[in-house]
Amino acid sequence: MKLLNTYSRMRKLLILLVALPVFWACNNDSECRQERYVAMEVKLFQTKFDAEEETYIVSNFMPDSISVYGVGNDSILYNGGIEKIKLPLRKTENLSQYVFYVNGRYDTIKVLHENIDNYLSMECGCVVFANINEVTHTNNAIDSAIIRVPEVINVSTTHVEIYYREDK
Amino acid sequence: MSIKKIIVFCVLAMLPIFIFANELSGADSIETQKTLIKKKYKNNKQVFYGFSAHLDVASPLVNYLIDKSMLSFEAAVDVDLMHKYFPTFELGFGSADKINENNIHYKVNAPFYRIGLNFNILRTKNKDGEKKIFIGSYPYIGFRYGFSLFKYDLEGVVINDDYWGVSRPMEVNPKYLYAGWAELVAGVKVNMVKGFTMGWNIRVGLLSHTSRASLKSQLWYIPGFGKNNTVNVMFNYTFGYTFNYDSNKIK
Repeated sequence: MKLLNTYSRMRKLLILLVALPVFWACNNDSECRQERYVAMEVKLFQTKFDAEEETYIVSNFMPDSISVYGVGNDSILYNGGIEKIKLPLRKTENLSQYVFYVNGRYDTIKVLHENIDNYLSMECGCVVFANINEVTHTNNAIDSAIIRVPEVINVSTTHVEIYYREDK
Repeated sequence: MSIKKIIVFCVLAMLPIFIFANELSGADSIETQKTLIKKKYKNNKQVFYGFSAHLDVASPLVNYLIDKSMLSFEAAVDVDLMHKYFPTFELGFGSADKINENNIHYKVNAPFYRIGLNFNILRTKNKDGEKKIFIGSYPYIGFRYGFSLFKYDLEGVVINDDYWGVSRPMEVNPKYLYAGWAELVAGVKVNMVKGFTMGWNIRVGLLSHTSRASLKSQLWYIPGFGKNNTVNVMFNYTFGYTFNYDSNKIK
């Protein structure tokens, strides 16, 4: 009986020993599993004056033709019909500028923001969050711009709304 | 880890088990030779039986095998209470000097401490309630609370702005942090000769807290705990000496 108990205990210890390399194999932590893409989301609206009611009607705006790119960078960020745009803010400067070409008319958007560096980990590196202080624009087609959520810490929120005048 | 390394590791790890099993089978003959000690053990109410000091030789090797940029040394002292409970204090030093594929450089050097208890899972009394002779060899389970206060440095952090095509360095100031973790331990200790011991144990560590929770993800290595995983498996292979044991006289 004593021998059986001893063997039973030894067996448990051996099972632990055999399982050890399996535990090690599970410890692969070199991948980054955190979301690192941070951008300012802009949503487009169109304002239309209702003469009968003498009021402005606001509706979602999906232009027939739109292209967006950064000032100082020719790479097109967006091209085609879309009403929500994710714009990468400059991580090394506090002013980001974009050109909006919508239905044949150009406008420039200037975004003044404060960057907040955020180190995540060795695997993920860092991300830069931002606080939007001010949004200005030209008035060729754009009527107004509103900062809805100034803290840019992810891409799941509309941060800025841009209102276009109705095409005549 | 290569197959060869695993085999060498398994053979070394099993050595104390074989010796321990051999000792259990030979305990009766020892008992007859040491009748005085046997008499002393009968109805013995003694609590403190001595203490042991151990030096771990596996930590530097295991750390090296997992990642060459990590280094760890540790030693332990335990107290024998009734041959059943072994309060344990462990002291060590851990360091890491790692540059990863993103060229981020993580540096840390600090001591660490663990306190806890080992529990001898063998019966210490026979069916008549008399104390058995303790030969200084026993399998055990136990727990630890480990902690370290350390400063870590980060260098080479760069912010890349892919769309705008620029980058700039980011300065991360050195930070002081306290980290604590819990461990479950299972192992075996064998009295080899005249109080000189060998043993091994496996530990499963669970990182429980850091003094600033927001900085926890920044850590790559924690002295005494290892890589910053939620769960870590650790291994110790120890050589030691037991002071003031009757079992030393048996050997």
